[in-house]
Amino acid sequence: MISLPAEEMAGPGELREATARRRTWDRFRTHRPALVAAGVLALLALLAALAPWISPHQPGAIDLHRIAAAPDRAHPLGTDELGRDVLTRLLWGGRVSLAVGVGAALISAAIGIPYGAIAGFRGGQLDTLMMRAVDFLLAFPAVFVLLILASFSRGTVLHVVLYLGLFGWMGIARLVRGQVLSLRERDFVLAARALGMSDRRILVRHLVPNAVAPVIVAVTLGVAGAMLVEAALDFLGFGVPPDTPSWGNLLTNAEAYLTTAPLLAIAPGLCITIAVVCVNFVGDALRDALDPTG
Amino acid sequence: MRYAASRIGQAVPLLLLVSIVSFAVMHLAPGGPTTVYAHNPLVSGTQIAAIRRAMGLDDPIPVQYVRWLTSLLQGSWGYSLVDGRPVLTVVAERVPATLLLMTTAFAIAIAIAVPLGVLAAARRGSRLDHALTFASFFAWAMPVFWFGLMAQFVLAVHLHLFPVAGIHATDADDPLDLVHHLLLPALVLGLGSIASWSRYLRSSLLEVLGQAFMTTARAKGGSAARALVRHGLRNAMIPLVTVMGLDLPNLFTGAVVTETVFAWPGMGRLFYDSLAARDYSVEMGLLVIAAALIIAGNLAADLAYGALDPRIRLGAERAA
Repeated sequence: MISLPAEEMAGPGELREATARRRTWDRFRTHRPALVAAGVLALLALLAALAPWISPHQPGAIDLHRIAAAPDRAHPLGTDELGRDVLTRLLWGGRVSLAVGVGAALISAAIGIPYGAIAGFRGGQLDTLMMRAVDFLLAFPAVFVLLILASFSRGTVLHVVLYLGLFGWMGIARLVRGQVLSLRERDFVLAARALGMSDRRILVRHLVPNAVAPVIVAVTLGVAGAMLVEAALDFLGFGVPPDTPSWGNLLTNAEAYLTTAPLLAIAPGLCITIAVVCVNFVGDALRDALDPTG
Repeated sequence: MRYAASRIGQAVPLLLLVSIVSFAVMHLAPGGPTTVYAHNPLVSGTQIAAIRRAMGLDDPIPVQYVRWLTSLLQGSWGYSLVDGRPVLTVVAERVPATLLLMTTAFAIAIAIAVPLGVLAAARRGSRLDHALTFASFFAWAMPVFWFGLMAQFVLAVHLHLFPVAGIHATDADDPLDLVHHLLLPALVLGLGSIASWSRYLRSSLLEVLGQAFMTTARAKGGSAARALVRHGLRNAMIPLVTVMGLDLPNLFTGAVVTETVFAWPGMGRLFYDSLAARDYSVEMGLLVIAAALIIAGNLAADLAYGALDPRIRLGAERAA
């Protein structure tokens, strides 16, 4: 087996990578809405991260004199049906909702990327079998299954992240498989094989890195999808535990106060919508920026 | 014809697999179906054991599965743990309401998405096109149930344009009243599809517009609009059909929350109620019927695809 000294290869490779990254960033920058969206997301994440220090009250603190009250000096966004400060719970809720979205998307990627890569690389019957399984899972009414699983284990935030991740990887697997399928016939793979590289190394070193651009986009959009499903599970009462402040949970009881305290329903929904719109904008701009043909 | 037969043939093992997985999922339940009774001080341990024996829960799992599958095929689908009625009866009561809601949402979505998509493609790059792009991003990002709440708040509570919830007024039984109750939840359910289908149609139209037969169509001397609709739209609709089929699971997801928000007495609402009551046999039945409807939807999309585009149909037959 011929092995080239790593140092000699690193120079030009790194340089090329640096220019590619540079070009991607240049293209991303021209996408005005995405820049704004990335800024808004950063702000939301920062506010959520700083929630324990900047929120005016404790998330569980109850003000018995103000039940579902209108905004005033002490409670800038009013209070909920138990007299808890809405602004505080929104800030804390951002922690849960954003973390669930990112966590679930990462789990999906961790399952979907190797699954799709193996199916695409091996091909043949294994590929057919693996992709049939994906088709099958996609035909399943995921929300029904998610709700059933969640109803079994009135568990923790971690449970919800896990379930969402376990039911969200199929799209990524399909995408990676398609990429690997088209890449594996390329000359550089043949060259790697001629150099005596093992299948595993070819897959990990050459195929997956080359398929990464559309996967980044899919994972980004997956964050948005997971946040929406989490919100729906919370709203139905089968998401994160009911006392946990998440954007979805804040909406659970809001329906009953729609006429008297509409802000209870409007504020958390706006937070979800804005976060999801921003994630989608960023994903869309990434798609344009990472597209090598564009 | 052979194409249709082979597609239908593929659906059968899929359905069998669905039944196995549904059964397996339900048997992950901690405590099993008798958990409801375990919390009831009036039900003793020996009684629970008797119930378990009567329900056949002590038999080996494969035996239980075969028994359940038999009941599926024979048409009783097991019995509800809440009121003891056959699951099929309980579910069948709810199917029409859900199908009505979903088909209406589907129709509204097509009726709005197609003109929007054509308009956006025809005026590509215009202010209208940008506005529609922006709006569709927001339509996508809104949680369905939240859009439902907001629609209730603005259109029903404040403007009194629609009833807040339910399927008909307590004393009324006329179709107009039903339509009145139907429109708002159907619009809420269809919003996501409007956004994604109009976007999809726009890009597939733009692709078609660049092709030679479009130039030919315009060279024949008809108006640009005529060429767009007669030749462009027809070809651009083909891939959209598949997207519509793939959207069915989303529609089910949406139906669960929409029916909950609007107190619509359909399968989604029944599912929610049976979760709360731990009515496992009804949950299993709903899981199977929802999966069956999704598979049927995808099948219909496949067949429509073949009908719209002879190349697909013939290609599949040649391969078979």
